[in-house]
Amino acid sequence: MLWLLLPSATLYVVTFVIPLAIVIVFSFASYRAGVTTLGLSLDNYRAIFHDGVTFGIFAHTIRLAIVITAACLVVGYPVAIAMRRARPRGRLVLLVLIVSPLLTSVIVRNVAWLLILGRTGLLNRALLDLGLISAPLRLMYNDLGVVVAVVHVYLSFMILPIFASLSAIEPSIEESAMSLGAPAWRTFLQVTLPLSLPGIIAGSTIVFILAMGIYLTPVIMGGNFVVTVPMVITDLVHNQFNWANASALAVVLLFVIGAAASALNALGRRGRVPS
Amino acid sequence: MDRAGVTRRRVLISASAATAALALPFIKRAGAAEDKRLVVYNFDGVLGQAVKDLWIAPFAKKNGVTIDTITMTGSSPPMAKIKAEIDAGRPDADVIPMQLTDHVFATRNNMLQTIDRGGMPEYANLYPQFITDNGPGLIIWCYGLAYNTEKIKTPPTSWRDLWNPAYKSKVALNEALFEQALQMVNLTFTGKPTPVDDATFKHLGDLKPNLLTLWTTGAQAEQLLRTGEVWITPLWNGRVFTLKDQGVPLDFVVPKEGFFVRYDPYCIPKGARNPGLAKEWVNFICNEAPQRELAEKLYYASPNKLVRYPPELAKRVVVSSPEVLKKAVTEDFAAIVDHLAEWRQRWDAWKQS
Repeated sequence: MLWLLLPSATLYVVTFVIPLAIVIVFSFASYRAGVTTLGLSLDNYRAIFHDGVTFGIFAHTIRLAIVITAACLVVGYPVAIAMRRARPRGRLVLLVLIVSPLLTSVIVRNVAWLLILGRTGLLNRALLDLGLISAPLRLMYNDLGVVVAVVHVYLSFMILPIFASLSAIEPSIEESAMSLGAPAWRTFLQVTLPLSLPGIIAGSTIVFILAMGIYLTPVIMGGNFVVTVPMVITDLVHNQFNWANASALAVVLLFVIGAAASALNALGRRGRVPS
Repeated sequence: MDRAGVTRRRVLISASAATAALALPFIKRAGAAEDKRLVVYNFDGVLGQAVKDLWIAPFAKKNGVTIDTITMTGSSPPMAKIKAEIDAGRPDADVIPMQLTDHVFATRNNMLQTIDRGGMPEYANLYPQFITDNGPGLIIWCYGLAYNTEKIKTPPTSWRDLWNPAYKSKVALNEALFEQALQMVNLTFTGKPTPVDDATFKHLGDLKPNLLTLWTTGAQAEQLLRTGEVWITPLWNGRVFTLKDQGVPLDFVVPKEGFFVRYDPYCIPKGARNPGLAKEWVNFICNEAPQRELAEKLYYASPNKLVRYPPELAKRVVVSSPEVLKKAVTEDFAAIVDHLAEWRQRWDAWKQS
C-alpha cells in the first residue's frame, strides 16, 4: 500500500519539505553587509519583535486578513443561500459569475479596479455627477482599495464551501422547524446557520490563509502605502539580499497561519454552536 | 527472387545510411553550437526588444553564434537564484546586466569574474567612471521630473515643485527606488544626497498631502500619468520621451539641484560556460554603433565618448557630454547597500504614520 504514496510523497519532500528546511536553516543565519553566514543566531527572530516596525506590519497584515475574511463571509453567505435556492440553470450562472474573477490575471483585475475606484474613476465620477459628494473620495491607495480588490477574487473560496454545506442540509429539518412554529429568522439562526458552520469554517480558513499572503494587490491597490508581511519578505530577498531576516519572517508567518488554521479547525470540531 | 533485386534488408540499410547522412550536419552543428552559444539576461518590454534587435542580433549574425536570452522582470536579475547557481558552479547565463545595488551585493559575495581591462579594446573609448572591474556600465538612465504639460503650464525647475500645495494628491514617488527618493529629499533641502536622518523624514511627511500613491514599475507610472491621476513624478528620461512621442502630454525636466544617473554593469558570473565569447559580446556592445542606435531609439545615453548626439537627441539623453554628467548626483552604492535595511524600516514606518 505504501508504495502508492511514493510519487506524491517524493514530490512533497522535494518541493515542500526540503525548501522549508532550507528556509528554517537560513532563519538562524546571520547577515552582515550583504553577506549571509550560516549559524545559530536568534537575531532575526528578535528583530521582528524589537525593530519597532516589523511587528506593526505583522499586526496590520493579520488585521487586514481578518477584515477580508469577515467581508467575504458577510457578502458571500447570502450568495451561497441564493445558489442553494436557485434552479440548476440559475445556479450555473451564479457559479460562473463567482468563479470568473479567478480566470483573469491579478494585474488585469487590479487595473480594472483602478478604473472604477480611482479619483477620476467611474464611481467617483458618478457620485460627483449626482451631486452626492463635492470632492472625489479616496477609495483606493489605502486599506479600503485593498480589501475591495481582494474580496472580489477570494469570495469564491468562501461561497463554494458554504454552498456545499448548505446543500448537505436536509430540507426536511428546516421544514420541521417551520412546521413547529419557528419563524423564518429563528429557523435560520438555530437550524440553517449552525448546520452550515463546517462550510463557514472551511471558507474562512481558506480565505484567511490566502489573505495573509497578499502581495500584488496591496502594491497596486494600496499604492504601496499598505504594507503586508509578504511585501516585506519580497523586499528583504529581492532588494536587501537579507535572506536570513526574510526566512525568519517567513517562518513566523507560517506559524501564525498554522495557528489560525488550527484554531478555526478546533472551533469547527466543537460542532454546532449551542443553541 | 531476383539476385540483383531489392531485398528488405538492403532497403533498411540504405534507408538508415541515408538518414544518418542527412542528420550528420545537424549533429555536427549541435556539437559546435555549445561553444558558439551565449545566454544573457535581458530586460523586458521595449528596452529588451531594442537590446535584442540592436545588440544581440547583429553580433549573432556576424559571428555565426546563437545568443539566447532570459527575460528579467522589473529590470533586476533574480540575485538569490543566480547566487545559488554560482555557488553550485553552474550559472544559467554568461552575461548579466545588474542594477548598481545588485552589483555591490554580487561583488561582496564574490559572484563575478574580474574582466581584465587590457582584454577589452573598446574600453579605450568609454568614460572611465562607467568601467567597473566586472564589466562596463551601459544604458545610462537619467532621473528627473516628468510632468503633465496640460495640467502644469509652468515647467517645474526644482525637485521642490513636488511640494507645491497646488499639486495636492497629484504627486507620486517610485517605491522601487525609495532609497533614491530619500536622497532626492535631502538634495532638495540640503543640497547633498546624504545623510538620511530625521529631517529627511520630516520633509517627506510634509509631502504626504501631495502624494497620491507610490508606484513600483514604469508601466504603472505610465498609467498614472496617462490617466491624469498624477501630474508630476520623478521618472527616467527614456520612459517619458517614448510616451511623449506617442502623443501623451508629458515632458521631462532636469531639476536645478541635480539629477540621478543609474546604469547597468554588464557582468560575467563565475563559472560561466562561455566566458571568452561573453567578453567578445560585451566588448561588441560597447562599440559606437550599437551604443548610438540604442540612444537614438530609446534615449538612453551611452558611456562611449565617440557617440555624438544631434542637439534634439542630446536634450533627450541628458548625459550627452562630460559637462552634463558633472551635474549628476554622486551616489555611493556600497553605502546605500549598507544603509538599506535602516532606511527601509524608517520608510515603512513613515508610510504607516
